[in-house]
Formats: sequence, structure tokens, C-alpha cells
Amino acid sequence: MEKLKFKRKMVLATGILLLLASLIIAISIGGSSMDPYASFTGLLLRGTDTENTIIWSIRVPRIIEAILAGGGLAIVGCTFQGIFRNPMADPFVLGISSGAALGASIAIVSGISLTIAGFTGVSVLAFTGAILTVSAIYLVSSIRSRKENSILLLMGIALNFFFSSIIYLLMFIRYDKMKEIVMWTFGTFSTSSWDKVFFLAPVVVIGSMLLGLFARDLNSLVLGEKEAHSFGVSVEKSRNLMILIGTIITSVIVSASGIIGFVGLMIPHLLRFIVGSDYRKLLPMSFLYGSVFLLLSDTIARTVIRPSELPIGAITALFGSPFFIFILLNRKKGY
Amino acid sequence: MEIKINNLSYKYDQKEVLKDINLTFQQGKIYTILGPNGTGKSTLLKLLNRWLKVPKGCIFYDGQDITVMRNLDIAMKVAIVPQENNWQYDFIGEEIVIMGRYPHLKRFEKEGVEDFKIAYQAMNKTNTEYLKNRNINKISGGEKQRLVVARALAQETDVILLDEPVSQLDLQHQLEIMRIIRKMANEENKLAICVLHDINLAISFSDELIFIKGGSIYAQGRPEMVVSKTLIKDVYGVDSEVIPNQLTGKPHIIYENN
Repeated sequence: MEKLKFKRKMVLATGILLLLASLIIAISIGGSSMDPYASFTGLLLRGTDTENTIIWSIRVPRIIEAILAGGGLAIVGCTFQGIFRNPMADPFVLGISSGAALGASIAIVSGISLTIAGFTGVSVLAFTGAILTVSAIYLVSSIRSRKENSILLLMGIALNFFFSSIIYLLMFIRYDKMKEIVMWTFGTFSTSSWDKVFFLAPVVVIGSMLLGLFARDLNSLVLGEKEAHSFGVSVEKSRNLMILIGTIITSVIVSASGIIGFVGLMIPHLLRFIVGSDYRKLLPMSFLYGSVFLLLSDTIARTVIRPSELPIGAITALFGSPFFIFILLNRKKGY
Repeated sequence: MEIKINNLSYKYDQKEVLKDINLTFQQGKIYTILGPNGTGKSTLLKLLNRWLKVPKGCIFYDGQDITVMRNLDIAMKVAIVPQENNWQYDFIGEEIVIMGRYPHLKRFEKEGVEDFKIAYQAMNKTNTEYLKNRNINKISGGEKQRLVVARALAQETDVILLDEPVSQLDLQHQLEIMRIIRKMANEENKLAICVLHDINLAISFSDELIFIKGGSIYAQGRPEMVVSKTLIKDVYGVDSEVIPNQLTGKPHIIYENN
């Protein structure tokens, strides 16, 4: 125990240091060929107007968005893996990604050009699509008296396929819009702005803190629903609330930055290998490491082929998967 | 605490699983529910802590209808020891036992010194202290089940429901678990309600046996009063002989081979 407690403290400290280091790196380098020193003068509003603008209107909001998205997706993934007692669960397991993608595709194909609070029509329809999808799954599955996990999950998978088919058809019909749709589904932080940050931040931060309050419920739900009930957890109510909060967080992130996979699935597992499954530790650490991971991934995505950018959705798994497999194979038995 | 069941009937998908059950359970005793598979034994246990929806006016804790109680109030009175522990994720022993304190904590509250003290006492009683830092997926079935019993003790409830608590265990661990439960009933006045398959094990550890057949109570009472050759034949359709147990003087059942 002492060993595990020490390990947890180390992992936490390492995470905080990593976050600080990634922040410095992310602020220092970018698409414009500004030197790192100028970046910091810009950060302190002591540089030229251009430097100030690049740092404060482009890099800082983008960095914050990456941190919020990474943290939010990881904490929701961690929560869903607990609720569904399924290691394959991630934030998109209830069809949020494909629902959002369908909404976005419809907006792209129809060329809607409204903007609400800094969000384009694409974002707004993506958000709507995500929320509607989960609501639909919920309504249909609640026909049964006790909602079974497997039914929710299978419905999510079925809807994923169904919506993907519609998206393929849309792309087939509107071939000219195909690239735009595909690019959206890759996910990107290149469209970040302070408006988006002001909208994302409260939802992700408050939502994550609320999920943190369910840590004990999650610990007991992971053992089994009967066990959770015997500890006084209102299984159905608690699960519904967590799904609701998780859905809102995920939908907001997806509508702001597209579908970014991997982080919500793998970060919680990676941490589970190292610090165990106690959700009181796992939830905050998932947020921390999710943030670090997406911040670093985004920094790579926007710098390796500058001034152009790589899609972040491709970067996360490209670098994350080999690392994850490495950890998986080298994982020590027991602790 | 006293649990009373009044004319309880329960239907599952139109099928009547339990019919007109009337029972009273008293503190300090071990009651064991026996009967063939699918006769509603586990259902009865699941109704007792309201995991399944209980009809109004059928189950009472100290005279209070459990349908009007909050989940948390039930969790303060009744703990469970399930048959299987399907633990997919890694926890350490201590984290499992401390879960027994969950119903005692408010949502914003953290486990305090007192909670850990209670958890460690429970681990001491079940001889699981050495498991406190061990990964639960790296320990034996008997050790897991002792941790679960420790968790139920840490919950500090008057009642413990045990659904086939030893069916996955070897002989030594079966006896170990049953002895712990017997001790809790004797020394801490706990009420234990078990479902068991091994009738001889049930006879040696229980104060009362309840035989269920086809959803109704076939017989109930002290082991030496109810167990007989005809009962075994009627309830299980098996031929047997009942002989006195040389060690305990209680009845012992020997089954016929053909």
C-alpha cells in the first residue's frame, strides 16, 4: 500500500510536471516562424503587436481547448468504462461520434451559415446530432424495465453503423463536399477561439467535477450493480446522471473540435495499469493525463509539417497506440 | 433487527416465482434457504434487500415496510455477500473492504480514521489483513470471498445476505467462511440469511433451514426437526439415508448412487 500510495503521488507529480512542460513547448513553437523567446514576450504582452496577437488570439485559446478536450474526453471515457463495466467503452460508445458526424455532415452538405456564440452551423448541428443520438438510445432502451448495459452498448454500436451509412450516402451524393466532411471527422483544434473556450471551459470543468463526485458510486458499480445497490447507491439514477453529464461534456467537445479518438479509451487504461482502479484517484489523473496527451499531440500536429497541419485524430493513435502496446506488454503483474 | 415476510408472492415475466411466502428472521441466527435450482431461492434473497421490486406490504424491517425506505437506509441495515466476484479491474484488498463504509459517508465526505479502523477490524476478524495491499486479481477465490465478508462486516449492518457464498470454494475455504459467519452470529448477534446447495454444510452451521420447492415453502425449522428421507425425496427427487453425524449429533444425509 505504501508503495502504491507513493507510486500514485509520483504519477500525479509527474503529470503536473508534464503538463507544465507541454505548456511551455506548446506556447514556444507553432506554425509561424516566431522564435521561442519572442513567444514568451508575446505571452507577457511585451512583444510586437503581431507576436502578442499570435500568442493571445491563436496559441493560448488553442492550448486551452486542447487541455479541456483531452481532460474531458479522458474523464468521460474513464467514467463510461466503469458504468458499463466494459474496457472497450469510450466517450463515443453511445453513438455520440457518429451522431455528431451526421449532424456536421448535414450542415456541411446543406451549407448552413449561421453562427451561435462563436460556433458555426456545423458545430451546432454536430452538438444536436450527438445529444439526439444518446436521447434516442435512452428512450428506446427504457422500454425495458431495467436498462441492461449490453443493450445500451449494442444500440450505440448499431446506431454508429446506421449513421455512418447515411454519412457515406451523403458523401456519395455530394462528392464535392467529401473532403470537408472527412476533414471534420478527423478532428482539429485549428478553429479554436476564445468564444469556444468560454463555452467549453465551464461545461468541461463543472462536468468533470460533478463526475468526480461519483467516484465511490463508480468503484462500487465496477464490482457489480447488485453490490452497488447494497452500498446504498441508487444504481439507475446514478448511472443516468453520469451518462447525462458525460454526454454533455463529450457533445460539447466534439462540436468544438470534431472527433478525437484514442484519448478517451486509452488514457484511463494506461493509468489503471499504473495506479489501480480506485476511481477517486483515477478520475482526476485521467483528466490530467488526457490534457497532457492532447496538448502534446496537438503541438505535434500543428508543427511537424508547418505551416500546414496534420489532423490530430490521426496523430493521437499514431503515437499513442505503439506506446500503449508497449506498456501493455511490459505491465508488471500485481503491485 | 427482525425481518418479517408477509404473504409474499413474486412474478417474473408473468411466471410466478414465489408464492405466499411467510417467514420471520431473528437476530443472532443463521437461516439457510435450500431447494433445487430455479425454485426462487436467489429471488427471495434479492427481494430481501429490495434489489428486485418488492410488492407493498410484504417485507418489513422491524415493522417498517421496506418499499418506503431509501436505498441508503436499506444499505445501513443489510449487507450482501454474492456468489461470484467478477472483478475486472484492479483494486487492492483495502479498497474492497473500505467500500463497506460507503453507505456511512455523505457524498462530499472522505473516509476518516474511524472508517479505516472499522475496516481493519473487519479484516482482522476475517484474517485478511495481509491482503490489504494485494491486488484482488492476484489472490485466490477463498481470499477474495473472505475480503467480501470483511466488506460486509465493515458495513456494520445487522443483517448479512449470502447468496451461495461458498459454492466456488474448496472444502477448507468453505468451512472457513461458514465458521466466520457462525462466529458473527454468535458473538455480534448478526442475522445471516444464506442460500446454500450443500445440505450437510447447511445442517452443521444453520439454526434454521427453509426448504423451498416450486416457489413455496415446503418445510422450515431446526435442522434436526425438518431433515428426513421423505423431505429429500420430495424436494429434490433423490433417494437418501439420514444418519446421525457422529461429531455433532445432527442429522447427516447420505445419497444413494442409483
